Amino acid sequence: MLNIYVGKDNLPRDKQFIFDVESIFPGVTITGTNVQRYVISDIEKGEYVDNKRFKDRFGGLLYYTDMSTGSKAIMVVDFFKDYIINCDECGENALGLMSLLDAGNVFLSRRSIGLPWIRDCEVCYNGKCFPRISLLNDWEW
Amino acid sequence: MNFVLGGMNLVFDLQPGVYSAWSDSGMGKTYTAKLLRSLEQIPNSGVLVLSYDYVRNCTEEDLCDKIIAGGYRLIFADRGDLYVTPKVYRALCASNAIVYLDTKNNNYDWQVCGLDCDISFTDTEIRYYVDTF
Repeated sequence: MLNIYVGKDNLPRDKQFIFDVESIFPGVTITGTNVQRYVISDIEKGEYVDNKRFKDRFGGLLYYTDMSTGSKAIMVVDFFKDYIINCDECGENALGLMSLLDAGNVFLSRRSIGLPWIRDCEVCYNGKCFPRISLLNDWEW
Repeated sequence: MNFVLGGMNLVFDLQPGVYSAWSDSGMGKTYTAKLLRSLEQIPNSGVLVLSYDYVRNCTEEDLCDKIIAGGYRLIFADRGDLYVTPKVYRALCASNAIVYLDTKNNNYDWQVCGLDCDISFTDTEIRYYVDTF
């Protein structure tokens, strides 16, 4: 289940909260999963090469540490499914890709408009579950 | 304004002012930040890199004094949303430097801080030229 938490008062206390995506990203194992390849293609406009490097939009080879923070956030949410990941640094495009994940925990400190999505999936928002993100958006925003 | 870094001539085709990074993911904010960090290594480069760890050990007053009196050409405020107050923002404006203000995409609202900082850029708005020689 994809869980979205907005506002620090809604953070569950039984899960570890990760404030800085960059600090935990080195713990992600990159193996070229569908999600990882999609992120590299859609956000970085590049392609997966191997577990250490990707090809960027200009054809250059970069290490994954050079990826954008939004791309890293998606991979962190997907890899560390039991942690709540601070996704404040994600652009709308990266947030939308979160909907591709079957499970994970996303935190946003605040939100004034509906959540973007690629896949109108089931989602739980501050503990309340919705069969589709579009229904959540209609209900909340 | 130009810098020479490792044989590359980097030209920042910008007027002095405060530029906040506000764009979708993947547009180059972090990459630009890393580039700017490396410029600090150039001796007498006139580059100041601010970070949360750096500023937490000084007062707001000291920070503003350093920004204004330092004569910097380029100031990079990493995670500026954590420490750029209205007073610090005014100091950055008064510094006559090009200020790259890195912040969060979605969340930080400079208006909340009382700052009229609506200058944002995409990867097409901040242009730098790299000549390799």
